[in-house]
Amino acid sequence: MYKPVDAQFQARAMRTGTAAWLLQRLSGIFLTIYLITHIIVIGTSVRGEDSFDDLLSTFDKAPFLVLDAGLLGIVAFHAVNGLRLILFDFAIGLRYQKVLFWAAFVVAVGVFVGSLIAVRNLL
Amino acid sequence: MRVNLRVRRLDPEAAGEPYVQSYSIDAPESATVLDSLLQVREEVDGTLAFRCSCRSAICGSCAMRINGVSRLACKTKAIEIAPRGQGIDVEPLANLPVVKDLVANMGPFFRKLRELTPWLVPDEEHPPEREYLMENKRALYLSQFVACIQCAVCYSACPIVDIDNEYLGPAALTKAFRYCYDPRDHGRGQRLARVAREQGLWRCHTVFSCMEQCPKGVDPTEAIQQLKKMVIYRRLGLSR
Repeated sequence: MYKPVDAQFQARAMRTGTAAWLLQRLSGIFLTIYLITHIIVIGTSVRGEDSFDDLLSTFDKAPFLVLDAGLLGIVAFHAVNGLRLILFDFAIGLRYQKVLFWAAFVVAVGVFVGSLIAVRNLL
Repeated sequence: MRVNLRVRRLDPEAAGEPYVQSYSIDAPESATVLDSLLQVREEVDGTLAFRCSCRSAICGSCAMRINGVSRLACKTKAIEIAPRGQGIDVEPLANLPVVKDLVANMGPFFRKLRELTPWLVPDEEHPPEREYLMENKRALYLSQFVACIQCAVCYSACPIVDIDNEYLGPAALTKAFRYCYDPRDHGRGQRLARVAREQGLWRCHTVFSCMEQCPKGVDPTEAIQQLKKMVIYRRLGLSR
């Protein structure tokens, strides 16, 4: 009959708006981490041509190119959803927030799939 | 029809941790969650504490979280959310201290509401010679914000209040907009100055939880974004 629960337990319903908010933050954190990695990789060029080329040859391989496609998808989502949020700050399109979120999502998936096809052509 | 409730309880006198207690009752098909809670209190457990009054979604007393969604217990039919007699999680409102069982301390919520002068401020220096006139369009647009019953569902649904307890919250900001947009009001400047701060307007990240969970069809997100626009136009000197 009795079941103890965590004192801080707060169940929350995950709806479109909340999902959009969370995804925007998660993609933002991901992009920050990516940017730092990117700067480190580019930074190896100061050690000379060879070390830079060595590192880049690793990133030229298929698994990393697929990850690149994923990166483009995440950038696309973050950018389009960011535009959605800027519209909201001018009180435009609030009623269409769900449609606009799904539009951002579809654009992101489209960019991801498009990049995958481009990657396949590269290999 | 079988209604199975899993109620999150807290007895402050026992100074213990919150716990979940299950109740299973036979209720009519028309029963709302509030009806079921009342039946539990009358037939099973007289110690169960919760607030209610009108039972028809007018007073806003019975706001609580049902299956993780903040809603009015009197406006939620048990059969609709648990058609096969599944367990229904009933918890007190989030973001507010719990007094006992499902009773939340509404103090912080009403304090923030009062901070923003939630009434019409008259023009003392130039009292009107006849009645104020409001265009039909504006009155109709305002009516949805006037419909707020201050049940704190939006306040409980807002994840930002959870992160920052001093954030004014959707209800107070909606009330501020409702009066700022009213042509009869003359307290606009003072009210806008009070909401235009970090823990006021700018804390809203347009998550839309308040809008999605409001039982009265009020759209607090719209009100907050309109207030942001008002503040920006004012700073740019484009409006009073």
